[in-house]
Amino acid sequence: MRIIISNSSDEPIYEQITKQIKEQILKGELKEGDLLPSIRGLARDLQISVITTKRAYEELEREGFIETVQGKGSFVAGQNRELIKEKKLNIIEEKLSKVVEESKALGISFDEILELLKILYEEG
Amino acid sequence: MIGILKRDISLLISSKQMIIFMLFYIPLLLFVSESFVPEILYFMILVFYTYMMSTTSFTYDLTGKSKYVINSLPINRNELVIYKYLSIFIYFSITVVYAGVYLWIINILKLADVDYFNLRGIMNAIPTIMIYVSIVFPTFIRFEPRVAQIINIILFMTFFIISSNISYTGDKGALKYLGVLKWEYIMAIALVMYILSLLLSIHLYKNRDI
Amino acid sequence: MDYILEVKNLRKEFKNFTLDNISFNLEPGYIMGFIGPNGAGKSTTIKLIMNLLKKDGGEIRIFGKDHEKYEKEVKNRIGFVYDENYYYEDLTINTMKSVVASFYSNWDDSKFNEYMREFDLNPKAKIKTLSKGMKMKFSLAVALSHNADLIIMDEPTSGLDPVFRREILDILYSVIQDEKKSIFFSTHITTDLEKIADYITFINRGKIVFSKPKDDVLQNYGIVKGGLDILDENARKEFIGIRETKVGFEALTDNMDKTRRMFGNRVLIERATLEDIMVYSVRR
Repeated sequence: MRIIISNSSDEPIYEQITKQIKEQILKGELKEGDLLPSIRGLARDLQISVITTKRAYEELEREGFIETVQGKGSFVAGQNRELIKEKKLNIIEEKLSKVVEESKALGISFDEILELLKILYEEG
Repeated sequence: MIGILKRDISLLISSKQMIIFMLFYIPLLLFVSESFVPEILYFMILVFYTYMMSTTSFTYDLTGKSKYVINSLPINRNELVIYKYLSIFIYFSITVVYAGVYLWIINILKLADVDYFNLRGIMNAIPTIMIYVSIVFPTFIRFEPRVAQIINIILFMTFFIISSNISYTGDKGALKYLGVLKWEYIMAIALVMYILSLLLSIHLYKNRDI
Repeated sequence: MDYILEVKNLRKEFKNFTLDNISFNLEPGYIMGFIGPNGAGKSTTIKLIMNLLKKDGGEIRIFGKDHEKYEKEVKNRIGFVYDENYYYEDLTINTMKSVVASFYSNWDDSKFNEYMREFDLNPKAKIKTLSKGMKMKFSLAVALSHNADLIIMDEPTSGLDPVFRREILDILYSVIQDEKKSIFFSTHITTDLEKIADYITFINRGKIVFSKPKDDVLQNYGIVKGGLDILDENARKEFIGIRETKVGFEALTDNMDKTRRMFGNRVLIERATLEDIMVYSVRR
């Protein structure tokens, strides 16, 4: 498991954590049932506040990514296929809505965006 | 309370000043006091040594940076004061033994003719120390260290002058009057003063800013 | 909510200084940093908590118990580390340890020896021969060797180099792995706290300025820089500790979002460090 925090980023630290864990779960790097580091252990490893890691885990639990068992720790939650698909789509949707917003501001049309998407997809 | 005793003894042993005092004060007194009645000398040694040890240990808790340590440990303020008052008897016992041995050696080596154990000396010393402490301890607690020190010195000088005067006049004068006062009365007064002082000190220390 | 340390309306009057209405709480399992400029009242507050000074008003509860009524019981579970090690200079570490150990009912000698090894301290050394850093480590070893649940530290790292301070932080992180223990840590070296603290309590001139989660503080406070033309009556009310120069002004805001909304592109807003917060708040 890999979590790298930037202290100088504008993004709140707890968000950086949740994002990275989410991605690793969705990509399959973290599998169902995997044990996550304890809140305190993680705080120590990252040299941040326990409240931060707690918040990150709470959010991950709220969104169904992890489950916390009293006395045992936090585990990657069982993800059923549809939910995973939905979560993945959510991430992309978020990014795309930013693209749409900016395109409108810059005056770029829908067709132009579509063209761009096509090219990018074929490149990658 | 054993903890505080441990600390005090450890500090006494490791303080260079204390060791110098312990070793050299008796010979100093001997040197200065040729015409002292041996009994009075013995008495003075007992009182002075006990006094020195008790007041030194007092300063650790009221002056200097180390005063914060003992008062941050799990200890009742009352306990600390009670300990201080009881410890004079421990120091007294130590002094009796120590002075006894020291003076006995001096006798054996025929360096001087001294009393190394004198029951009357001991019996007079106990109430004296108790009275002395009854006055001095509360002043330490109530007043700033500097003020307390001044009071302390004045009291001590007074005592010293009185006892040396008594000694010089030998069997005449004041000593005769002292002999008239029964020991039991003096001891009773000393005990009352001691207990009152203890209560006063407990009250004062309870409300004191360290 | 069971607090490990509760201070309510604490008050202490001196001739030239008054500590007034001091209130804050600390839950088990967290570290609270106590910051403020010199003379703000940090040491006084700690001495009041430890009942070294007598309070003139207010309440202090530790482990849920009144700190004066249950003084001995409470202090048995507190490990303390003070600035300027106040131990007895003439004693050796071992002697000092055995004196202190006899007061605590849960003294753990093996743990103490472990710390001695970890800190590379010679138990036979006289305390006066130790450097400042070593004395501090010794204090810490003592404080951590009787299963204390609350560690109270008064400026423990002042005068120590950054390498040392980082080592101390590592040790504190280890302590806090136990979620029943808490640490209360006063300092004016705020960089130490920016990492480790969970809560920050800021005291200035005898009063509490704020007592909040560190993340909230660092996310909401910002340094605002802009041209002098912006500084009208309304603007001045928004900012703290304004510093005006010929070429513009600098100030602190306790609400970056609001400032952003009010002034948009006309100002530059950057994250404030704890040191910034302290400096700007103290400026008249």
